[in-house]
Amino acid sequence: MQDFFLRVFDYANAVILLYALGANAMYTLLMIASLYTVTMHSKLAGHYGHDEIAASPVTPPVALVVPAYNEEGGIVQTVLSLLDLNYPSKEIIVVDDGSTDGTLLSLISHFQLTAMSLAYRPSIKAKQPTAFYHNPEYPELTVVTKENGGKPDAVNVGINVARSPYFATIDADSLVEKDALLRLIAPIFHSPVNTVVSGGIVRMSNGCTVVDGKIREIDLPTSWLERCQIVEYMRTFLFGRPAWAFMNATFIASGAFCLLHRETVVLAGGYSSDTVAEDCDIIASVHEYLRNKKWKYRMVFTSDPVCWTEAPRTMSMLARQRRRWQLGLLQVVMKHNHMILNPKYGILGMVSMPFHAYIEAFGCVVETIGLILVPFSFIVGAMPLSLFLLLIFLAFGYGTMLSVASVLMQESTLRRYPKASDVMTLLGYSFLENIGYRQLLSFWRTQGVWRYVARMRGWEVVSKAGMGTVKAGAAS
Amino acid sequence: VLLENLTALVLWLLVTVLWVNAVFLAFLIHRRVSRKRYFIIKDEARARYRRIIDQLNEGKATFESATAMLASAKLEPEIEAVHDLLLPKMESEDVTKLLYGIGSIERWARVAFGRNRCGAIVDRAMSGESNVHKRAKQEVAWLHPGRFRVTSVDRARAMSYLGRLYSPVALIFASEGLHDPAPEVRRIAMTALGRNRHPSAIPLIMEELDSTVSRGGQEISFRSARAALVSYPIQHLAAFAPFLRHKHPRVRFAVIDAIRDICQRTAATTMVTKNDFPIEIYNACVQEMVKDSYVDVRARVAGIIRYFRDAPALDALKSLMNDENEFVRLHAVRASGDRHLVDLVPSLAERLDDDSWRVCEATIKSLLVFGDKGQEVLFHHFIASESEHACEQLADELQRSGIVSSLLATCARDGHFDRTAAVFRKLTMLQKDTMLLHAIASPDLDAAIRLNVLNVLMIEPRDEVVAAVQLVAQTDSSVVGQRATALLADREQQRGYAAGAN
Repeated sequence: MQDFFLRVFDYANAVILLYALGANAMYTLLMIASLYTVTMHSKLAGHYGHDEIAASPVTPPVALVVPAYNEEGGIVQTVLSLLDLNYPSKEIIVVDDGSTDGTLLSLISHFQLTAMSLAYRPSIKAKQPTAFYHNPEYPELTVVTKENGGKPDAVNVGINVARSPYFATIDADSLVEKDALLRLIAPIFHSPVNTVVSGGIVRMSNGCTVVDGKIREIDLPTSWLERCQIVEYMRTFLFGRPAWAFMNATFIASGAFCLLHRETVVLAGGYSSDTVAEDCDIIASVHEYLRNKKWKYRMVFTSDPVCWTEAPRTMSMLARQRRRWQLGLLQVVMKHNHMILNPKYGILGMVSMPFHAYIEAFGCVVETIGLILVPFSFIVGAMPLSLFLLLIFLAFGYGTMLSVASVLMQESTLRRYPKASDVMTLLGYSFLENIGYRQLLSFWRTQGVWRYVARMRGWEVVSKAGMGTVKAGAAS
Repeated sequence: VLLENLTALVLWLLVTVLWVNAVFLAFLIHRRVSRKRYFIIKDEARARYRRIIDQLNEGKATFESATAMLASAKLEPEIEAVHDLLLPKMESEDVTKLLYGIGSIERWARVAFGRNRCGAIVDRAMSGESNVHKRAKQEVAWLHPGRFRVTSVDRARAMSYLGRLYSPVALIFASEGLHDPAPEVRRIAMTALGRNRHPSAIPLIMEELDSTVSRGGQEISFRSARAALVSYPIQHLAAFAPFLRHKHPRVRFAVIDAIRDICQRTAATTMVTKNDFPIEIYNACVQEMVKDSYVDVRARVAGIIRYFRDAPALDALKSLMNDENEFVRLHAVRASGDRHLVDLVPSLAERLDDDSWRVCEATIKSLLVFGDKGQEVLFHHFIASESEHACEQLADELQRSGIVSSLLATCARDGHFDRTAAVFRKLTMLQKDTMLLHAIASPDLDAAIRLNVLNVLMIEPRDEVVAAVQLVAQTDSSVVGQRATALLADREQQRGYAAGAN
């Protein structure tokens, strides 16, 4: 019996070791690729001709689609930041997805909107709008209301209302930097190949001072949880995404700020409500559609357009968010599992999707089991000290290199934290977040996997305090 | 053996990670410190060299002495400070000479073209030669080291600076930059040519455009090439003429679209007439492009013909408005929205019933350009039309453009209330009456206006309207509420008669 358990432990520990080695090797490769692309991009950042793009009639119009559900606190600031964007031709479509708070009223009163009966010609299936609001003094802005149908449905309504060839999805609790849209369109403008997706970087606004829809002062939040998230956001946006975009194998583009080609999205069937990660799902659907059609295309990620969003401030809200993200990722991976290891989909099918499926989606289960099994195996004498140390090192130590590198990358490229003390604090958290925070994330992500297995597919709502004229960190 | 190897692996990994972390940290701290020092030197240099440049501008220093003093900048931040000070005026001849004098141009050229070629190119550029040499493009192998970003970024940056110099000088550098193996450098050279606006560069841009179209877009983007063409002033349109008959339709489209955009930009500040166009372009547009086999060409030519404003041009626009292709009709009606083309109003009115709602929408917007005359056509058509989608689109634009709001605001003192009432009535019939329902429920609005709207709404009202009027009757104690109550009572009475008659 003891032999049997020892053998089981051996096999389990071998799987954990293989997973840890494979995942860390992959992250290291991504880090190298990202260091290259982000550095090259930032070296040339001042020479993309943004002024020319802003002045050129050739620049394509963009619709900014803002799905909003109970966003009373931040919606006006978000719309103000969008109206202020430096872009030659834009339309702003706010889709109120049946909010039960004062989201609509705050928009109506701030922008003096009038209810109108406008034409609606859907090209994607979505719930029928119940009303349109417009003010000729803000010709760019249209507010649409509809019954609650979830974020994907709201985005689909926005796409149906949009007239521009490109649209950008922007979360209602996000603020977009003045030139961010120009920076996002630049790779599309200069690309010789049809570029259907252009993703931007999302940063946390927690701790920053927001006035009239603009970030006035960049500061770090005070709580450890938010600081750990800042390091994590840097790692996510500066590591994985530029590297995958470099290989034209983007699988995730944050729905908080992403530019897409409208007609391609319509042809791919629009945003689907059968997952809770609609932003990831649409990317996979667009890839699938275009690869099946054998059309040449590109999906790009630009590391300097910045959208600021509010991250959860409490453990319970963070847990909800991560469970939902994990559930969504799993749903998308399983929905498009025929693309995994399918050479027809190129690097996306052979590298990116297996990575997202086996390491990002299911890996958290291995990590969580490992966190329990590895110390247990060592204590009962089923694991030698060297292996125990290796696994512990891979679990706690190796990640510090990736986190420090991400802080380094932001410092040498974007430099959004001007104070040296902030950078030093972030460096400290690059080490600290590997002990405790990442393990907590693994646990919540495993709960997300459980929700998938148990078919608990509901959308866990993450409530936020909203950004105001006071420091966002103190707004709660 | 495995255990020994594992121990070694752990140690090796631990040391590697600690070492890499230490390197990253050291680099980060070094970068912070060095950047701080860099900016201190740069700020000091900027203050020092600004004085010299000011003295030169004020005539207190000679060109030679200023050049000698600026050339004393040797450190990287000092050179950057000088460039920053000169960058806003780089396109002037004096600043370009100054940059040449202090060696910046040669430094950039060395990076952009290499040590061997830079001397000859700089000499040619600085000699005042203002014409470019067109030479055959060489195929660049996919694995050419110059193609990769890691080698081309510095060349691209250098090209960006060279392309901003005094126009004849920048022209030579940018035209040479088009032969670079890296698309990034060529793209920046192309932007520089667009900014430069020298007519002799048009064939070079067209050659790049041709290459982009013919080779399936592996080089410079179609948009970048088009953006460069659009930058040219209307005075240089003659240089575009030879390309209007290009064999490739997408090239013809790019040329036509560039001319259209140039005209549009010029028209925003000055009056554009047919005299601004070379005769070749006029003839090609009116006689050939309107019949071009490529839809995009036919569509975009309308935006040029509108500026000719003579009988053949009006005929051409009318024919484009009746084109079989929706996209062509769309552009033609958009182009016809010009106050100088008032003769086209009847033709535009015909397009209000177009099968495509996009054409209908564009027609409405174009008619609105004609002010009262256009509005009258819209009202007349809205009231009389039986086309559901035309009426829907008209209702849409009447609301969006603020016309319904202004009708509401003036309907109490308007001499044409019959027409306004008919518009309101049509909006109600189309169930596009949200604004009207909102008006009767708004206590801040003038009572006379609300009464007028109430009367219109209660002609054969549907259930939603009745519910809204009932709410007014219940909540409003003013004359409007009383009128609402009376109208509801009348309605009940009529329904009672009707039920009795049955």
